[in-house]
Amino acid sequence: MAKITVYVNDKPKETFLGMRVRNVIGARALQRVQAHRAIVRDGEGNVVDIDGALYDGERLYIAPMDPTTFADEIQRRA
Amino acid sequence: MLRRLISLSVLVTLFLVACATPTPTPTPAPTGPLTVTILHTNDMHGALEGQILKGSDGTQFEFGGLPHAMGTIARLKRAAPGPVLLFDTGDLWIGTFSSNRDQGKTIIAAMNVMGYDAMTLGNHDFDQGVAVVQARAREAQFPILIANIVEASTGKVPGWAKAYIIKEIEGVRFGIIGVGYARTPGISSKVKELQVFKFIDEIEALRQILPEVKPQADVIIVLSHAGFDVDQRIAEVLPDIHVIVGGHTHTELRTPKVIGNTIIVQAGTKAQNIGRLELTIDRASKRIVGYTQNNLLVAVVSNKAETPKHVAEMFDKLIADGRAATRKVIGETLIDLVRAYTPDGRSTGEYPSGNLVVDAMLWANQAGDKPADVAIHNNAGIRADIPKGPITYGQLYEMLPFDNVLVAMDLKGEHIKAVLEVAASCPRVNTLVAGMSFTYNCSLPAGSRISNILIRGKPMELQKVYRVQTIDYLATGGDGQIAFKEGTNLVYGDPVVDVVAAYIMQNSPVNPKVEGRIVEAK
Repeated sequence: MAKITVYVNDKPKETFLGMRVRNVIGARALQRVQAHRAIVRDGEGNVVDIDGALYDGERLYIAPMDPTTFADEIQRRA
Repeated sequence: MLRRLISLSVLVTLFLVACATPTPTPTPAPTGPLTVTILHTNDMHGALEGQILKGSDGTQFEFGGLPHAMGTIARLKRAAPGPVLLFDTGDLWIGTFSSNRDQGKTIIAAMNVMGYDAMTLGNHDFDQGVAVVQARAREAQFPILIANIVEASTGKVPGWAKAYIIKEIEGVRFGIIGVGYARTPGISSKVKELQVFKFIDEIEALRQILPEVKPQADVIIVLSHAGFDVDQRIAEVLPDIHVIVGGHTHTELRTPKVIGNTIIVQAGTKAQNIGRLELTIDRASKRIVGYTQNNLLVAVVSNKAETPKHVAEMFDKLIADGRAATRKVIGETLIDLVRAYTPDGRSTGEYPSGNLVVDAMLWANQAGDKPADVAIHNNAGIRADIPKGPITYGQLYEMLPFDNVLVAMDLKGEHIKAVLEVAASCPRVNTLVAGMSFTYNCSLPAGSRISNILIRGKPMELQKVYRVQTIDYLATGGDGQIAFKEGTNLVYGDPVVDVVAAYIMQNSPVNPKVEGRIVEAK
């Protein structure tokens, strides 16, 4: 099983291929993302889901989010 | 004679009518560019229900979910300016209790109604075994495309799938190729079963197939479950590909990623978005001359009214069946499955429900070629108690709500000791174990509190390698357990909650006891 390194808010985290975003962002951040109080983006600013597969060298950034703003944005895109 | 005269008069009449009818004008050849809309989904993971959100205007709505997604697809198809291609790139039904039980039958049936044109397979589509994939492929009224998954015995794509298809739309030929995730065997719980296949590197497989597809196609589309990183590498080295519809990394590409001539799109996950890419194609040169530059993803919100009635009914039934199943009794416990607590109210040490979980993890025997010596789970992952009496799946899910999956690994004794030392944060001991026992002493400094570690009744050797069954959360260093990162030969297994459910069904009534696995030094 290959080991990979991902970067969470620029901090390197070693993990294994097959793991998911939820496994490396930390329990507290995970709860915030699940409550739409935070959002995870990749190095290019694309939103990634907590169950997305990780890849070597991936950069993840956790940013605060307001749940209502999140809901409004979803409605705009519907 | 009379009959002959009638026939003659009929013929004459028909001739006169034909002469009087104006010659039909040939339909004029379409002018202007051809616009083809690609609608796409990926990683829907059996998301039958969305999340409830509330906007600033107080509107409450459901975000995501397959029934709503199908309604959105129906709307987007109607609104499309021209022909539509509808694709999915895999990881279709594994992910929710109701959908897992159904093994993808309802979702494939719904996709048939919606008129999907093709899909490729994701790594999780193999989680319930090859036979299930074959059955779904037989039911699908659209092709399953996997150019890089071939039978080990023949080197050919299995009979229930294809490497690619050619689809002609108004004179433009689309070559559509599928690639699954090449590293699936390394991260699948079905590693042995998957030995019937050879998984070929995505780029290598595409390099092999492109010379065959290229002469037959004007536009080449790859349906990929390789992940956003690999999709970008594909685009860099194989410029003949015009569009890559991706998946696996659950990336929301709201604007297309363009590398050279290749447009990469991906629509997130859990049926929360429908990807919509419009390609403008010059009819003479048959080349793409324009494409959607932004707002690629249409969010899926409550709109079941647009879902075809038959499809909505199918999903309603599936959801209702699933809910009923979570209330169904799967076994019985002879004791209260409760936790033990520290004085400040945190679950700690050894207790019956914890032992039930780790015992189930060992019993499941999902550690690969050799059985696990020990199972380790954290206390913090056990979140509810179950009273004496009947047990339902719903109760178990409340007890184990984190969607963790089994992970087995080889780990040296010294690293197992390091795990236990971190767990002994005192007064809490944040671990549950099976197949082993140990003593902790909170009066000693952190890092030296653990002693008398026995594995299968024998003293643990620090340099010996043991097979450890744990969960993905801990395997990635959750709870500060960085020693798990020293593990090798990882094998993934099923969700913990499913493993415990299966254990209870097989061993009911259960009666887990505190056995002195975790002992405080006096």
